[in-house]
Amino acid sequence: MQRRKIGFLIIALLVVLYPLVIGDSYKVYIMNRSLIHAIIAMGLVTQVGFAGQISLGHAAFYGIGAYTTSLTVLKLGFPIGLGFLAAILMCVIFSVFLSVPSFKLSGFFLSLTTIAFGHIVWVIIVNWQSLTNGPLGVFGIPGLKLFGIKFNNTHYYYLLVATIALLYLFIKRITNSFIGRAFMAMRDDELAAECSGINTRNFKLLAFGISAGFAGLAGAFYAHLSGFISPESFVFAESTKFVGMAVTGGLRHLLGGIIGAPIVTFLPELFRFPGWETYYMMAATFIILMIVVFMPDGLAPLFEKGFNKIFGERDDVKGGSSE
Amino acid sequence: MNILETKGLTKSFGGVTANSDLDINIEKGSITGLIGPNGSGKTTFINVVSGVHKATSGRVIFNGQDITNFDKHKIARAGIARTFQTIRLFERLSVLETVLVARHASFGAKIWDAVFSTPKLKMANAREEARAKELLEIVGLGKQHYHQMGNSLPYGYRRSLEIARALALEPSLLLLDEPAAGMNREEFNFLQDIILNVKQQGITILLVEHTMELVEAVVDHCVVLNYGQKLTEGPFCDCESDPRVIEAYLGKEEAEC
Amino acid sequence: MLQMVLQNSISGMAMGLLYGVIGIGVCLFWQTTGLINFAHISSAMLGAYFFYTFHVMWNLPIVIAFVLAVALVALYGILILRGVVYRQIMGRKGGRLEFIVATMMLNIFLLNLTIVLWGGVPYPFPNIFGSPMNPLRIGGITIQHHSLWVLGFTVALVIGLNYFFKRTLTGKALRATAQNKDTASLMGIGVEKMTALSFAMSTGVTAIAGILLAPIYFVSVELGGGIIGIKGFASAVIGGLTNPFGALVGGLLIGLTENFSVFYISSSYRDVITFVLLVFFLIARPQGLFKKM
Repeated sequence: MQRRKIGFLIIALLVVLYPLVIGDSYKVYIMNRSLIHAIIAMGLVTQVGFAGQISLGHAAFYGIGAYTTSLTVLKLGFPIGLGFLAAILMCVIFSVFLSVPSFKLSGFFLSLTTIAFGHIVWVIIVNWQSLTNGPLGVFGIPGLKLFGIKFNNTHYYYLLVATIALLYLFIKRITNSFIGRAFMAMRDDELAAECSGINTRNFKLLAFGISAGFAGLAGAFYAHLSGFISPESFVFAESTKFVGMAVTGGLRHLLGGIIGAPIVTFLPELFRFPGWETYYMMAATFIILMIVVFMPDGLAPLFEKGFNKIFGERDDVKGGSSE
Repeated sequence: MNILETKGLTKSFGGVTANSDLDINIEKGSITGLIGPNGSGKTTFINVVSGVHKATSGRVIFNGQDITNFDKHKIARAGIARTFQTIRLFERLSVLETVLVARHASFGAKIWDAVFSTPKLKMANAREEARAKELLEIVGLGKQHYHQMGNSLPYGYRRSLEIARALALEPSLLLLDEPAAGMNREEFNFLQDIILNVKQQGITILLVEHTMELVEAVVDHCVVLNYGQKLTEGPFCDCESDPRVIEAYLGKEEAEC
Repeated sequence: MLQMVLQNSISGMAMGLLYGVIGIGVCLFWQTTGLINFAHISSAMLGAYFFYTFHVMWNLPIVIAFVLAVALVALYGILILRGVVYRQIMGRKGGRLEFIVATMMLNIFLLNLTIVLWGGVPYPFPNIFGSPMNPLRIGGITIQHHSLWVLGFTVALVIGLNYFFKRTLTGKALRATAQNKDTASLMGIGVEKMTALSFAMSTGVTAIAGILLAPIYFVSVELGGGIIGIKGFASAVIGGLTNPFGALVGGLLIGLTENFSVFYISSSYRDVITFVLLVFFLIARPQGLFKKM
């Protein structure tokens, strides 16, 4: 057990030291972007991986979150914290609209519905110019401040890491509880779950609500981190990217989103050596395709195995409710 | 006293009437056998009672309450549990977790109890796990099986697990849809013990079964369906020797000679 | 007024038929696999690029370039889509979710591959389907030559597919496979071969749609990444997914709705109407308008 603690400590240290070691503010910014995506991917792991409700429209929630905080802060003069809350709340409200079709539909039909939802939201963002400033986007979104200090990329990094740690604890406790069991039962066999007394509608609402809330939070972070948002960041391709991140990391693994998002974000950078400028995106997407096709459980189980190999197994192999 | 009464229960799929005007009463504490040739509407009856299918017309009265076309989970929580003809377990849940799914309502905890890992939840966890283990004991699944995946169990045990999951609802009526199908001798004997054991705990059972040996051994009362209609009912031996029943099973010509 | 309605109907029909042809491809895939291929529309993009390469870059005659392009896309369907992605996922009994994600990633990879092979700049498509500058004018209504070509191709495709499914032994075998794989295989039908055939037909038909779409969208990655593919899915869903010809009706419905909504509501919300239509059909009538063929 002692060795495992050392292992966790080393990982924690690496995470804490990352911005100091890297030093390059732009790289930290990119890392921040990937952590923001990790939040969305974590929500998708909960909704798709655990509760079995597919969504290919999460860019919409990301966008709703970003626009809600920006507009409430800029136009209504909300403090930023309240803007964040409004973003999350707005997304949870919209998630109800999306989960109602899931009462009736599943699989392909549900995925088409979520795509349609994503497009409808996007078209509205582009065209409701009086509210969203249309394709030009919203400028001058204030950054976070604490005790009079404006956040730089490193500050954001630590805030995001702390947020992700909290969110991880949140979904870990939920998925390990009776609620998580109901999610998984619903995912594996909806009819059998219902005949076992599970009200699947409630759990669909909850799953959609959690992941929409996560995406809204991510959107709020993104708006205040970059100071500028435009509809381009919320297109369908982004939705597929989020699902791709969750799957690359491991759709049924709690760490799936956290591992998948940075890998998908930084993979193209790995191939960006001289002479490969034209090929790096293709190479990166090829590798992701190979992971998705040949490793259905994603990379997180590999990380777990590697960790266990170096730092020893857990004593209680499957500890039920032990935290 | 009847725990379940159906009045004129009818279910049709498009033009095909699977259940036609069924009046079936199930006495509390009894084991009722529902038999009949293939396609006579036995499984449809279970599906309609458990809410899987919506009734076309007619009513289902459970403990004096009209539960016709209630949602599946409401019917389950009201006290009607069921198993499935083709076993339906959860692909990625362990044996213990599978039973705990059906204990969901008894947790009495809210989402915040889970998020903050409150003492209330910990107590509920311990309590429900203990109950789940008791139920697994009843159906013959011991400690060594708790953390196995449900679907990795041998066939007979999977049936047992399904029954344990159904019992986890603390039902007053248990609907068993061909539980003995595909079982070997040993499993069969064990199933028979389970069924009688469940009855002894005061749970009423409706048994749909093709294996007449099981029906004969356990049922108090028999209902025979044919082409979705009630052919006859009574004690098993009466039904068995009823010429109409023989005819239904064997076809008219064989019955004549 | 009447003239305006006619004009809108004609332009809406041309576009709708193209959505419908993409939808036919979706149905052909669904028939035998029970799956939706989210890389479906990349077949259209590849078809257009191949055709452009063969005809414009290599100066091959139109017919040869056309046949080669469609055949090559069909080959991709058999070898890569079926040979690698489908086989791998079905081999380990992966679910619909895995297939959705894998084909989505395949689509993104193909987009990037296309950018590497052909560059990201759209190529103008040669006016082989008539110049948009001198359309037919009949009593004040303009009809693009391209629209007539689309109509011609669609009619030929419908007749061809109908003949194939109703008259030929292979077509009947394919239908039997679509109905029930186990029974089909008991009757001595090579189910594997039939699946391969349906992959080839699905991708091939979509490639034809891609070539016909190129005069409107240019030969560009927009063909493979935009929302045309979703409209193809929508056509198929409205038509009932199991009936390829239903998809044409679904496509026409979408094309006409789009054109009239541009006129009566606003062009910016055109796509919203399509998607609302899709969601409406998914919820209210998931079995679509038409029964199984």
